[in-house]
Amino acid sequence: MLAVRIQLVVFRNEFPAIRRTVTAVRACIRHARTNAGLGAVTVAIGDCSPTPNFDDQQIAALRDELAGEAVLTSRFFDANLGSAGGSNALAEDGDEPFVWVLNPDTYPSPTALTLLLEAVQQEGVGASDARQLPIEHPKGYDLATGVAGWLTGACMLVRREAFVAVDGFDAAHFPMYCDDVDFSWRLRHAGWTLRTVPRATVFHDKRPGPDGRPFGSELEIESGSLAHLKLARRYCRPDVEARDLAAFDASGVPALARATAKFRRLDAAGALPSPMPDAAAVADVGVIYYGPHRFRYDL
Amino acid sequence: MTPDQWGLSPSTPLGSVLTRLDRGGDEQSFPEPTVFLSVVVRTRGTRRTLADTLTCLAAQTCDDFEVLLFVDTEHDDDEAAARAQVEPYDHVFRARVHVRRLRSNNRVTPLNAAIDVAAGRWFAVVDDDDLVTADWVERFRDGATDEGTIVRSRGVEQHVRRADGVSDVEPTTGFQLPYAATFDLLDHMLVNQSPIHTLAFPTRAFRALGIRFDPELPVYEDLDVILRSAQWCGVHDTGAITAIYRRWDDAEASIHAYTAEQWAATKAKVLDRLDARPLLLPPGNATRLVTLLADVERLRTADVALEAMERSRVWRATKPVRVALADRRVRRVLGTARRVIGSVARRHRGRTPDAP
Repeated sequence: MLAVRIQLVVFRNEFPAIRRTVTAVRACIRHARTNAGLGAVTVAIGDCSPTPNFDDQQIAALRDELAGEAVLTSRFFDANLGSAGGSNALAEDGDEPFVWVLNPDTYPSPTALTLLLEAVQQEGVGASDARQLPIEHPKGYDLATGVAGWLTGACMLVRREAFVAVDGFDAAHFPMYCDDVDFSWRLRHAGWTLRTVPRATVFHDKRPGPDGRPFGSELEIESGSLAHLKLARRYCRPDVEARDLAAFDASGVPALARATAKFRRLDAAGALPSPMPDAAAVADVGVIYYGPHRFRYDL
Repeated sequence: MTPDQWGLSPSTPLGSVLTRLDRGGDEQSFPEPTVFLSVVVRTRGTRRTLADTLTCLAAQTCDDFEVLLFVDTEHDDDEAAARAQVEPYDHVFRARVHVRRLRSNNRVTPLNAAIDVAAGRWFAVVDDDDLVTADWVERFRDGATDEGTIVRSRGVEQHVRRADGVSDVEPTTGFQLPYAATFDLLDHMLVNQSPIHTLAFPTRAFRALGIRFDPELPVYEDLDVILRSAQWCGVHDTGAITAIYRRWDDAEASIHAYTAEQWAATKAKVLDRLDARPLLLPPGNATRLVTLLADVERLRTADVALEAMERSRVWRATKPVRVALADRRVRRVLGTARRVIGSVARRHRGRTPDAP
């Protein structure tokens, strides 16, 4: 029987949203039990909020929701470890052969876990991810096989053996943004195949902004841009690093200016990721969406 | 009150309206509302994209809705397939989904059936390939402050095609924003700016006024109801983008099932119906109409002046000079300009979700 650890790292998330996610997870477990030979399941909640996000009554309600289907554990980190650090810490708490990393603002469709499990058990596959709704991620994958250059961390099922082989997410350098891209590339560098399963879907609560583009907050722009520059350093693309530092500087966008300033500070302190020259072949830092994309959201 | 009580013949504009109101809408009894919104999903039961739509509904931030899933098919297997898509969802969502079987083979029948059985104070319609954001119901609810008003959010459009590898549907573009930010009745007469899943209609008002979708219309059934109901109910814009309209590039769409002539004839029928009754326009439209008519008059005057100039002796006498000047390069520029104008015009005509 397949044992799975389902991990939710929360940070000031509202209880109704988490309850909705947990309710959806329960349906996924029930479907996978019937259709994929799923065995024991632990749902692990890791709380990165400044003070405990949920009271005992709320945790008990979540536990009741999963009663008979999964064990629920809740851990208050008393520190903001980021999604990467939180996921690593939660994974270390268990030993299940599969780890499902799931964002707390998601609703996985009921067949998602079943389909992701089928994919990740194929020989050589280290991880699988789902297609996002209602704003589909434009990252590329092979339309015939699902083989992908990288997977999104919003809904990613990882084989623990692969997770351990690459020491999980790099929480020191990629606490929240591009942690999934970096993790994916290190998995591929270690010889694992990644697979996107479009028929497995996950609703990710992203919304278009007033201009119709998928909305990106200031924090997302700043942290995402900083992470992009770090990826360029790690995967040995000095040309991309120089090009985008200059472009961000010239943009006049405050969030980008903050990203370049922080990047330079980290560089001066010797705190950027160490280059991995032999991993450059699996990385594609140079283009938006990190690798071939199927379409673009630019208007 | 009858027209006679107002001292009006039924043939006067207001008299005709009063006659209609006096007759009233449906007299049958309807269920009491128990939820804010009834979400009407129409499907034949076989499309895999139905699961995408259901997942979007299951993920709503506001729970105050029911789902009326109408499976319109002759085949029991299709109904079973639709039920099988609903069955694995979480128990909270599943309890809100009511599956109903129809055998009408008509896009409109489920919508009219829904008006009769809806337990929602408002109702909205989604097709089995539509996507909505998590706050779709919530925005409708927040905007539904006036009883009887239509609530409108905004949609984006994404081109997709059928896929046959590991996926069933493949986007070919990002989001496009061809729909107006706010509702305008006159603009909608020209081009539909509101995919049907951007609207929540007031159930009680529809019943009282006898507003129903027309089963005789092969297309534009949504525009027809929008134009008729918006006059009476008014439209409140939430301003939020909450709906994603998938425009199929291949044979999936109704746009490919009918000829341009059929589309034009149906649009004419919709306008004929509007012509048959007094038209009630929202405040502000008197000035708007005057401005539009003044613009038309200016264009007509300019056109007449242009024709006069072209007929003039001077213009005809200087024709050889103009011909000599119009070398190939100039003609190329003019040709390009014509093509650009033509493509803009075509794009403008094609803004409706269903129009050719």
